[in-house]
Amino acid sequence: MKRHKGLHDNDSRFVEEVIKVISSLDGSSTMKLRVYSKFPTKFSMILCNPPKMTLNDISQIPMMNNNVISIQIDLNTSEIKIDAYKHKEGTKKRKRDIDLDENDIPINYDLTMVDTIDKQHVRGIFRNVLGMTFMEFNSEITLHATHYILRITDIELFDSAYVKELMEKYRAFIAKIVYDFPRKSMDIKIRRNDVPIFNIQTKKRKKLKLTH
Amino acid sequence: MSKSVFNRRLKKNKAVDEIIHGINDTDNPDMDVSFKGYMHGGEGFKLQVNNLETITDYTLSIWRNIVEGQGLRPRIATNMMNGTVDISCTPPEKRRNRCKYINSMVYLSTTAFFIYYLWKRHLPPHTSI
Repeated sequence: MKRHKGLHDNDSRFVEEVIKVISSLDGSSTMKLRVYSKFPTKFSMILCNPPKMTLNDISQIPMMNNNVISIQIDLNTSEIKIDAYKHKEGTKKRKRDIDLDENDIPINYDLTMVDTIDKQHVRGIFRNVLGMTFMEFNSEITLHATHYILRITDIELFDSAYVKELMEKYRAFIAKIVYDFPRKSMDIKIRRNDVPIFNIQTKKRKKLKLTH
Repeated sequence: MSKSVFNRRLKKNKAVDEIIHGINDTDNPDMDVSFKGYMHGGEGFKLQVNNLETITDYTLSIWRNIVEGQGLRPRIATNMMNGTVDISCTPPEKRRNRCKYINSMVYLSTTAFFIYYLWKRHLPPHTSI
């Protein structure tokens, strides 16, 4: 892979590492990379045709570089857009937290296939998924013995941090979130209420102690 | 077994067609206006303009007038990275019904009047010296 001219060595290394990590996943042979670095403080990398990835795979990207601003997912064009501050530019700015938006479920949405005991959390998840974008999208629910799969397709560009917050909020019910780029869909695995919890996705917060 | 919850509407309504027709510029045949979709609950829609060479205040004001001509409120966002312009067209916010406020004012003033009237009635009679 050629080094990009407009990037500092550290930023180039970050780009290479992201590529290495994603290339290790199955189905990444057709992936392509575009880098935009003309702005003085920020650069963007766009991964075209990435493989099927879980939310955990995506969540590892900000861990590789503290300067990552946002990771946006475009399922329609099968692209991941990573925006980051350039070397020595990120420390000045504070990252903003993402709040979940709740939208009322329009009356023409059909959730009759969901069992009564699961309706409350499925509707709650759906309200937050609706808050992800302003635009309509296609959604379908597949019924399984232990869980539901909520498949979302034809959705506008959205921020991956929002999905991470959603998973955190409903960690007792959302078992897994998969971005299926080849199929241009996002699959949310929702646990049924009558099935015991096996593993909960947890977000551990580190407590820092200041010493003088 | 999978069941559909909702399928987004793809059929353009009359307002969409008229706005797209109005924005399309015969002087710039490369410019393409596409319908991106409706917003949740049918509260407006979004259009995307592609292949734009330049954009000026004048162009934006013409687009605004076209959208406002359909009784909608435009919100224009330009993406310089991929050279596209998104035009969100939403219905204007409805004015709050003033009738509710007038009713409240009538109830409040009637209540205040009766409180004053009862208070006056229970006061000891004023005796003049």
